[in-house]
Amino acid sequence: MSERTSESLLARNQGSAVPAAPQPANLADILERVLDKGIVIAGDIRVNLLDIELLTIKIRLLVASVERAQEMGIDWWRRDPMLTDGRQDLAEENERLRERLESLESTDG
Amino acid sequence: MGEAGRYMYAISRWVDPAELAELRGLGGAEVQAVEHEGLLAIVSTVGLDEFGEDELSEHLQDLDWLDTVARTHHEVVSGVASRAPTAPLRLATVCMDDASVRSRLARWAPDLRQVLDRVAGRAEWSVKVFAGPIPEPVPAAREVSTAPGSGAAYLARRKAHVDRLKGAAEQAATAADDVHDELTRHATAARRLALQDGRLTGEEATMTLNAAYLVDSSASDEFRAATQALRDRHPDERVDLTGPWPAYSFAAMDET
Repeated sequence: MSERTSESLLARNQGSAVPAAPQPANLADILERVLDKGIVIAGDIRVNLLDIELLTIKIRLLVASVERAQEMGIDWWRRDPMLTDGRQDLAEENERLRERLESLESTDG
Repeated sequence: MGEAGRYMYAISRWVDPAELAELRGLGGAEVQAVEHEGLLAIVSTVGLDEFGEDELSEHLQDLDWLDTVARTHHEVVSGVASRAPTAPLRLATVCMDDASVRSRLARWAPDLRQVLDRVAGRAEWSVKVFAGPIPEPVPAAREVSTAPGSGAAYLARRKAHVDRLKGAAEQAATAADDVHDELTRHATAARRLALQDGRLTGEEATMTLNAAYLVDSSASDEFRAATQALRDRHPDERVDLTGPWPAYSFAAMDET
């Protein structure tokens, strides 16, 4: 330790420190920061956190696996029109239009 | 404990050892500082039976373990950050001994000083925006009707619903962009983070913005006020503000 530490920290760094967070942080917030942010320095113990993305963690730990998730019907990311930009809706709409056309043609004929 | 290593939480300056002693590290261990030319690595001792290479990769798959370690890491980082300018390190940075820790401080000293200068006197604020309720989907009409009238009615219903969904999505995206643009003006630096899945957060509403802002401590009241003004401007969205956080999102060494 240098002699700097003997001075009162609060006195010299008034206003420069971060006050303790008043509210308990949720796990998702903490994980995304401690796993994905912060300074990266390679220690002596090698661990590649870049391999561990939050999505992987979520899927693996909360629903076991992507395959398992699909078995369980948890595939909202494929079906949700907010995510798929309505492409599925358009496909269904096209299908309906074709059926409608066919039914009109058969009525006329 | 068999073989032991030094777990690094953060880099800091000028922390009083007596204040560090008030913090508890992983496994309840004492939190200490390893110094090199005015830079401090905040560390504690961990067993390599838990933090060895193989053990770590195994433990990182275990949510309960990860929960405890991530929270302890965060508590130590927050504890130090509440006392001095602090640059958090990514989870699970482990060296064999203090000499090895010092060699890291020496090697990265200019970059670490730059990061500390950037975050000194500032804190990170987290802002999340959640969209209002998504319009109810039209009940699925799976059966194919051949009657022309019902087909037309179906198409009209379908189109109306798709339009409503698109409108809601556009409104939510516009609101998220507006919140981010406005808050960026009140911050030294800003970052959009990946949107979080509701299954991890327990949130039912769709997250449309997850962002971090680096804000001068002297401007934190102004930042809070700006957030409140945005809530008033976007009454359909929910705007969550948490902080101050240690500057996790602004501590990368390769940034200017």
